[in-house]
This record gives sequence, C-alpha cells and structure tokens, in this order.
Amino acid sequence: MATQITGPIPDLSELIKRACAGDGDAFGMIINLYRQRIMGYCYKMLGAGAEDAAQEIFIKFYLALDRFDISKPISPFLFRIAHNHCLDILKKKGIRTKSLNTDAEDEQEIRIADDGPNPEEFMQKAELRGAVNRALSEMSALYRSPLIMWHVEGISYKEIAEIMVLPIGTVKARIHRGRNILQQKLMSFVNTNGG
Amino acid sequence: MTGCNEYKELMHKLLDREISPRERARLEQHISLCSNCAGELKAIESGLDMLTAMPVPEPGAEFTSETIKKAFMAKKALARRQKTASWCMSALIGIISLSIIAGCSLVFQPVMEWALLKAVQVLSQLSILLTALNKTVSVINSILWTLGSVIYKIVCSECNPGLIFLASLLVMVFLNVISRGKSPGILLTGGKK
Repeated sequence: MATQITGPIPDLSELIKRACAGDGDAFGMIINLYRQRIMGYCYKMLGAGAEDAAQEIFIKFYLALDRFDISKPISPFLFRIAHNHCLDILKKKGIRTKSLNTDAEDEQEIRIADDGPNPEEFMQKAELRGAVNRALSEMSALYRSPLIMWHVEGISYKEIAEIMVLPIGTVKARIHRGRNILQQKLMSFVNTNGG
Repeated sequence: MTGCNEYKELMHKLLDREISPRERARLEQHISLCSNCAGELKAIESGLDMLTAMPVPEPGAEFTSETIKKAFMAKKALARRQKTASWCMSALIGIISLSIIAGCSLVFQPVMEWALLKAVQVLSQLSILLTALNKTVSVINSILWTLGSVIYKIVCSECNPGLIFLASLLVMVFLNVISRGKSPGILLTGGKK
C-alpha cells in the first residue's frame, strides 16, 4: 500500500506552485490525491500495463505543470493528459484495447474483492464482468474513454468536451453510442440470466 | 416495437440525469409493459454498474516515490535537451549564414575581382600624378628660391628703389604666370576690367 495523505490536505494551487519549484513532497501529495482515479481510468482503458501508463501520465503532468493555469481545476488537465496518453498507447499497439483481467493474477484479485456468499450469484457476477470486459475490448477507445469519464469518474460533459477538445454534442453522442454498444453486448447475458 | 425508439432516447436522458419527472413516469410505465425495453435498460444499467464497481489493482508501494524520482529525472533531461537544441539551433544558424556568404562570394567573385583590379589601376594612376605634381612643385620651389636670392642680393648691394620695384614687378608677373597661366596684365589690374 502506498503512502496516503495524513492530516489536512494543503491548498491544491499551493501544492502545484511548490511542485513547480521542485518540491517532491508537494508533487507526491498531488499524485496521492489522483493516482487511484488515474489508475482506474488507465486500467479500464488499457487493461494490463495500467500502472506504467499511470506513472507516465504523472510524469507528463509534472513536465507540463509550468503551463498549467492554477485558477482552473486540475482534473480536466490531468485527464486530458491521461486520455491522450492512453490513445497513444493503443495506437502504438495497433489494437483497440487489451481485454481487461486477462491474467490469472488480476482474476484472483477480483475474486478476493467479491463478497457474494451465493455461488450462483458469484458466477453471474463473474460472467457479467467477463461480458463487460469483452464489450469494452470491442468498443472503440473513442467511445470507451468518454463513457468511463462520465459514468465512472463522474466528470461533467463540459469537462469531457474540454478534455477531448470536442463539442459537448459530440461527447454526448459518443457516450450514447458507447452505451448502445454495451447494451447490445450484454443483451444476450441479460436474456440468459432472466433479466 | 416501433414506438420504442422514443423510449430509448428517454433511457439515455435517464442515464444522463437529464430526465424530467413526467418523462420518467412515462418511461417507467412503458418499461412495465415492454419486456424488450426493460431488458435493454437492465443490460445498460447492470453493465455500467459493473464498469463502475470493477476492482482496480492497487499501484505498487513505491509508485509515488518512483514517479517523483522519474519525473525529476525527466525534467532534468528535458532541460538538457532544450539546452542542446538551443546550441544546435545557434550552430545551424551560423552554418547557414556562412553558407550564404560563401555562396554569394562564389557568385560575385568575377565582379569583385574586376572591381579590385580597377581600384588598383586607379590608385596607381593617382600615384603617378602625385609624383609628377611633386616634381613640378620642387622645380617651382627651386626657381623661386633662386629668384629670391638674386633679388635679395640686388636689394642688399644696391638699395636702388627703382631696381626693387622692377624686381617686385617681375616676381609678381612670374607668380601670376605660374598660378593662372594667363597674361601678366591680369595681375596688374587685379583681374578686373
């Protein structure tokens, strides 16, 4: 378990100023504030290699801190870097995405995290997770990214539009398209399991 | 089924949290009657719930410290690269400037050679002229010196006013001839008619 922030969190703009001046502790606090969200986003976008990607995103963020306007919120700036970085990685790999939870280690982690006492329910959840993973894998990153930002990270449409440099209408259309793809992929699962 | 498209839009509005209470009531009523739409909504909601609740692996214990270390190293490397790039740019500008100068020299070499040759010729002619002028001035100087000596001897030995006047007149005439190359009368009349 990595170090967490203890005590009151200092003002974010103050942390950024300190980090810009080369204060490692301040930069560490910023990382600790956002690492779980960035890690989650990377994991859902890329699957394996999410930790390395998250680290690279924070490094890029640090190098770009000089250009950051401290009067603006930090998360759109950080997620913009994350979004572009994940798209670059996917482009380099030449595939849409790698299926999530492909290796045994990840599968074990998920099993530990689940607390369903009913074996049937456990199986259903595992099947649903598999179906969601497959749906995400087959979905274009252009739909997956805004879908994760909106539904998982709770980022507003306006902020997603800023992150992706797109009009709000296009962002909405992409999220709707992503939901439709998810729904189509999961329909067979819902029908089999009786809705 | 044909009327279901309207409710699909309402489903998106519901998930966007933009649905009005009236639209919500209409959607709920439709879903209670249409198993297909109910299945679709169930599929989307369960998928999104799973996506949100999907466990994410915890970053390693050294994640933060390693990231800080790598970020600082990256910043130093970036500064070095920028410095190198600045030097390279300066060197490139220098090379381009020298190339332009060299290119111009090659193009304008015949013109420059001709101009230099002309300049040397003009200077040598000027030098000849100055030498000739110097000789002339020396001759005039010796003549004047001799004349002055003669006049001095006459004046000192004879002290004859008539002779002094005559000698002065001769000198003035002589000077007038040398300086203007015109008739002696001009000097006597002060150049006025």
